[in-house]
Amino acid sequence: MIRFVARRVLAAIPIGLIVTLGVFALVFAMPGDPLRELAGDKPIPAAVLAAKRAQYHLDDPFIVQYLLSMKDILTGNFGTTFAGADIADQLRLRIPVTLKLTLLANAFQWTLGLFFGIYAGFKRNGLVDKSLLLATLVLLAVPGLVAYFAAQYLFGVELKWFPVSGVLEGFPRSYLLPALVIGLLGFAGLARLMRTSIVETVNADFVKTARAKGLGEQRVLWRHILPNALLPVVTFIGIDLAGMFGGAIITESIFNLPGLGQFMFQAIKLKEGGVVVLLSTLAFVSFILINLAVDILYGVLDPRVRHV
Amino acid sequence: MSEVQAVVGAEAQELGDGRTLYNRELLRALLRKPQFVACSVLLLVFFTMAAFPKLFTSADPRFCELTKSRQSAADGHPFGFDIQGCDYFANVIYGARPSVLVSIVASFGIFLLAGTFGLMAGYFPGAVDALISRTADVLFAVPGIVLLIVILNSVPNRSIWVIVGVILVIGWPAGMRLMRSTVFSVRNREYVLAARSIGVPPLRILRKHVFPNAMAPLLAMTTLGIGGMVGLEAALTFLGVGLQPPSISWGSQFGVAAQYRDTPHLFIWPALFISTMTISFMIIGDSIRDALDPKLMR
Amino acid sequence: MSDILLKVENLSVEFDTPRGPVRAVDGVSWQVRAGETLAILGESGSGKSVSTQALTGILEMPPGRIVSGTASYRGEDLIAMSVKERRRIVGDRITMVFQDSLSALNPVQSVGKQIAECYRVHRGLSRSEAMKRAAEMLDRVRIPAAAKRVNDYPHEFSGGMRQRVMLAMALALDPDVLIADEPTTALDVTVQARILELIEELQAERDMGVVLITHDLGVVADVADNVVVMYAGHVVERAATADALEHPVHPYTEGLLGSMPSADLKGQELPTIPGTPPSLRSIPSGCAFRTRCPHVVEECADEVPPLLTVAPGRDAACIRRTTMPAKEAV
Repeated sequence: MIRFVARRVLAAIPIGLIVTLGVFALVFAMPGDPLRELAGDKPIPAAVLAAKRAQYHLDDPFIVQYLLSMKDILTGNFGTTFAGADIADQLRLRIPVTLKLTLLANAFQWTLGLFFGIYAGFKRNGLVDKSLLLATLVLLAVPGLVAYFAAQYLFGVELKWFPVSGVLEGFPRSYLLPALVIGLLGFAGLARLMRTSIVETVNADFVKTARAKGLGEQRVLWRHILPNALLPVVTFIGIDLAGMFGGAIITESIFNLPGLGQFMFQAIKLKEGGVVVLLSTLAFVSFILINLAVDILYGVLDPRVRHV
Repeated sequence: MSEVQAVVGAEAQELGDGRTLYNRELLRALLRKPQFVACSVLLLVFFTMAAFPKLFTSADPRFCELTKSRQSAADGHPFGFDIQGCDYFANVIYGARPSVLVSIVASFGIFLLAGTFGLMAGYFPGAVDALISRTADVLFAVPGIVLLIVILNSVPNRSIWVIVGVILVIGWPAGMRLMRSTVFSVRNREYVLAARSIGVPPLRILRKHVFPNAMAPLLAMTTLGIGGMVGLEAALTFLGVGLQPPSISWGSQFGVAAQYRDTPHLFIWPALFISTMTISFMIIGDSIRDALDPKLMR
Repeated sequence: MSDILLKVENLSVEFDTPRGPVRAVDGVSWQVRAGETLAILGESGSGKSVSTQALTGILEMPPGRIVSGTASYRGEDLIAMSVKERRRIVGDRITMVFQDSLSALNPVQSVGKQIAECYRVHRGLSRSEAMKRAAEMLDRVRIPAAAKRVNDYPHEFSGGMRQRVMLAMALALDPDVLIADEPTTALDVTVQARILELIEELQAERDMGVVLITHDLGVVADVADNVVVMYAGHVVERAATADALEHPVHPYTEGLLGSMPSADLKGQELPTIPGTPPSLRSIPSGCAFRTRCPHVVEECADEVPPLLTVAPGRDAACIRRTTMPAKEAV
């Protein structure tokens, strides 16, 4: 087990290097001078500009800038943004926002997805199953952008059930609407996957064996079909959670939630290479950790791929 | 995006292995489905809209009277006016072009890229597979949207082709993995071994034996993903890293609509069009997947 | 003679397909006594598995449908009884073994747990007691180090060992009838022989009736007391194994025997039955075998030949053989 984890972490390191280096290079290659653009039309005194440039190592060659950024990240010495905000403070404020949103959205998604997926899978071709297939097809098809705006307009502006945007009303009120929409869009995929997986497992030979053993239908479903049908769904957790950060960029922009996604987007816009690389590293590390956790969980559930 | 791909991948996995329908057979099976026919007609309308917007509206989308800004529907202007006072119907019609172009070209391109890479990775284990798979690992490790934003943000003049190109660079790994795994299951089939044993060159084996028998899952994934491309283009434009004014697109209309919530028609019309289009793509993809599914045949 | 344990009469099963119903089993009858081995012999698609799956209630219904027939276990009709009642018998008194043990065992449960489940559900034993019995059962089917292997998973066993696990599971509750559906088809010949020996041994010990479904005449010759030959959903011949092998009556059985490779035929071309088995969708009218039969006459197309007694304990469904002189039939 420990060897398995160690091997995975070791394998992740070169990928992490390439990822951070690549992202940094892309930000570095962006045209224009970030500091000048930040200042807008106001002329900046040459001395101030030079000091700032030195602070952010902007005059150093690319590879030096990258190494300095990585050193800062690895030593936890994050510094400030171009605008002067303390990055560590920003992270302390923003990480909870994104976490709250993600956890709430996942709570909706998993409760709904597993419930409907299992129900439809067990009672396939029933009314619930058929409506689920249709509804999830539409939910998968509607662009996220349209769904977010429509929900915001309908429940925020018109019905006034939820705040339209921002986090002024705190947790959970401010997070309910975006989380509900994200959860609903994610539920569609999850429920379909769960259903497909159950329908496929139902035809497996070992289910016939279980019936031939004279087991009750409930026992066959819960002890034999479900544990096997859950396996592909476990893989889905990884893909799903890894996609959450990317999704947060769009949702946090639309619902104006000051989370990591918004931070990332602003940093890209302002060409703050250090912040972009920091957040990419954060996303990458969580991606690796989530995948590791999923693999371990998978091994627990499926003896065929157990890592000893 | 990747979520839809995961689901679609799972649902399409069973399509692997050997069963290819003849095109005519497939078409006949599809034409029996009313929802397929209806959605095809709708898409045809959208395609015509993208190619010849003048067939649908005589108004010039860029002819604007500021005094009419954000007014609702009037005679000859069924969708009202946008913030500049331009005819909104014409704007929505002209907005179809980028969506159609990006979605079709990007999807087709990804199909080709993912298919080729998947074939090579699956059929030539070793260095080729390692190179392709490790590159995919790297691309998987960063949220795709972050890469898209970072890259597109550094391109000063973004045309549709730049956007498509960047989507292609980022978007192939999921399809490649699906193709690779199907190729793995096909490559040691007897008909491939037989071809190899009589000395058929590898490229010909790939083209004539492996690809036709391994493409169904990827095809299903691609068709089901076209709708997602429409949404992706809109999202990028909304975030300000997609098409730039004066290009007319549904994504930029969303961006404007988001700032003027008291005039919902600015949002409703492009939303309606874009959703109809993505749902049509999805239903068509779903029908094709069903038609390709060997379990449902006979 | 010993008791008749399981008696199937006039069983017909149809499948609903998009292109209309297809009859997979048509008016099949057979019986098995305590201590007896009955082989059901037929090619794939002849309906040999479907008939046993239908009577044990594990056939997917729909699309499957039992059209007619009874299957009585000690006088009680399994087909007419409720699902609940049937579950008392199937899995307890009548158990099954399947061909592909890798897919027929639950991959994410230890074999011990799967065997123990029988004791827990049918006997209400405690978890630890059931596991103890499971280990004993693994030992009975001669799995080495059974006490340790009881916690292993199906994929950790070899094919032959896995089939022993299947057997242990099927025999855990000391059933009256064991239905073995191609139990050795997926195995090497040597392993196959050992599994068959094991079945025979356990059968003798428990005076159990065995229904052995197979397409392998060699297996039939080795272990079966009686044989039922099926073709396209019909029983075409029913006889004691020795009789059927010595003097086949139905031309199909004859053809099967003729196409068995043997040392005597060395150097000659192996005779085969011409043609292929019919698709169930387009079974020829009258006798289903007539399109491939060397003795076919015009009347064969008129009606489905009934299963008639040609000699004591021997039935065959062939209008020619019941009229043809016996010596021609040899």
